[in-house]
Amino acid sequence: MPTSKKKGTQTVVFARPPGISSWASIVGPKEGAGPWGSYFDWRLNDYLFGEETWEKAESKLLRETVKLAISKGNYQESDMELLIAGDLLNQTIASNFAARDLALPLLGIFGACSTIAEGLIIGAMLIDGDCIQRLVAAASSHHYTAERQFRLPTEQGTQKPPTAQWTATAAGAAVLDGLAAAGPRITAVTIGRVVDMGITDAADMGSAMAPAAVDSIKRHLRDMGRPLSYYDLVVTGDLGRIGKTMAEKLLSHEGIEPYSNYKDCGVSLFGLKQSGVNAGASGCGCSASMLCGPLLKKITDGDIHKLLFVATGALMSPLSSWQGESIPGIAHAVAIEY
Amino acid sequence: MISLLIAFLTGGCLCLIGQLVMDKTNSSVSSGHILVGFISGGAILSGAGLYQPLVDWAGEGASIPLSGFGNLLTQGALRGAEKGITGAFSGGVEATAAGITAAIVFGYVMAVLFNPKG
Amino acid sequence: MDDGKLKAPEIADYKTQVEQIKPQPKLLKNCVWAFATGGFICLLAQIIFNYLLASGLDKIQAGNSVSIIMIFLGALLTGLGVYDKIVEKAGAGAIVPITGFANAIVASAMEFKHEGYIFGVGSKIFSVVGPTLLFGFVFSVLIGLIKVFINA
Repeated sequence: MPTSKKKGTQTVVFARPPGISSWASIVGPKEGAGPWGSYFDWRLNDYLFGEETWEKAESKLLRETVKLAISKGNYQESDMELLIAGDLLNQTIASNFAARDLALPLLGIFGACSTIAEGLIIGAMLIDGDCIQRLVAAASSHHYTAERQFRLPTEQGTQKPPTAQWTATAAGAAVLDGLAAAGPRITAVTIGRVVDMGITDAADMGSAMAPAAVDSIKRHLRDMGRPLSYYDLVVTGDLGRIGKTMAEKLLSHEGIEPYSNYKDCGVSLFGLKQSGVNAGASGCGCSASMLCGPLLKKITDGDIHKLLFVATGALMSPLSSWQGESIPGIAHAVAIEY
Repeated sequence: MISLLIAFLTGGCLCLIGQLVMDKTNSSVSSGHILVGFISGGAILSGAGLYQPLVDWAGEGASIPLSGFGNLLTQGALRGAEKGITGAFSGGVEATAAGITAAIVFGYVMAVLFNPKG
Repeated sequence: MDDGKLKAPEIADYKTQVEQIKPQPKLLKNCVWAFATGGFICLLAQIIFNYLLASGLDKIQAGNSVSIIMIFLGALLTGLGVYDKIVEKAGAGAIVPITGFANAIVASAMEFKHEGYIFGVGSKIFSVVGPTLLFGFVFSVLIGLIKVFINA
């Protein structure tokens, strides 16, 4: 027996769509120097953010972003009933330690780089389900915490293949408010399935995630009975240049055309000329900061009315890669309309 | 002067082989794999009697690439083997003791003195 | 992809398609850099070696000294945060020489300072030295033992 809010196989349509009443993003030096630099609230000058370790820096990055999102909406910290946060570190320590200092109730989540969408989905459901009225969803990533956890020590010399992506140093946080008067609203969400097309190359995560992104887009459109052109912009999380090309191929293979309104945060975050970036950006902070910076700004400016935000995640660990496992991908779709 | 040119060309060629291995195989070959590959390759070629002549001809051009380190280990083990089984075990480290110790001690000292900058 | 389960041919087809669009590394440029940088490092070592030889050291002493000096340089440049930038350009040209070995050692040791000097730095220092020396030891000892048996 389907519930009144469930539509199709994987989509939930909200009866009282929760508003995104406030948001903030803080990015690192490289992201700040990219084409969207001026859209982020703070641009850091260094990767340590005044801390001793990169892990502490990432936690501070997340904490300050949450604080900023709360204060930008003229809220007090005590107005927030819940923090839903996640990151890439083992046991999501960046989020846990940020929540320790914020003294907010925490739901820690992990969806790899799709975390912000997972947070928005859970948050929107809690609000529309009349469980909670106001909450913050946030996600962060840090280039050097990710490097040392997933790849090599930061000072060890390597030459990255052209398919590799640069983990963004960035965080984004959004306040969801059930009583928000105006502003962008989350109207529907599609929870993605784990899709694995057998890609084992950890230096090519875009190709591993592209099928999951297309699967979620396809299911969202089918569940909602909408063409892709219903949205002014469909944006995936961090597929990068190779992943985006593969996603476009798969979209047209599925008969979902034209996709001229399709973009990818991983391709957009950095400029083409920026060194070391190769195929583009990745990390929780990539899609989180692009949403809680340029994208929501463009929505409030009236440039975009209907956005389908499809954050993507690669669900492997260093251990699974060493054991030769392929990389499962996931993508969650969030429809934001104003 | 000619020794410098030979060192340059030989060292360059050995590194070129490493680069071809990196670019022509899948990207799971890391710098650590390259190091392990070169030291093993050097040790084995040395056992086959092929690497020491290269060192004699090219000097540091063949010694400084990590295959030279593998060669040094094997040459030491072979010299030690003349004195028996114990020598086969001790000879390699005896020949390379200076390099190994320097690497570990300098490694530790630098790690204490400096912080990763990213 | 409709029933949710993926079929083997679809997966194989996808992998082939990815391989087709994957950009390849800039082979010629990488090779020129690797050759030039690797050559330069060996040239530098040879200059030091020739100098030491001229100042009266024997071949073995001079060889050892050169190794120590090059390891020191690689370690220092890693500490200063320069070596990884060199490898980014030079690739194997800066990985294969013994300076690259020093880089891997210092990088892995330095990275774990905050996890403690004994089991942080002290154990992680061997994360690259360990496997490298291991295979060097195993092959050289095996070859040595073979020689012992041939002699006997």
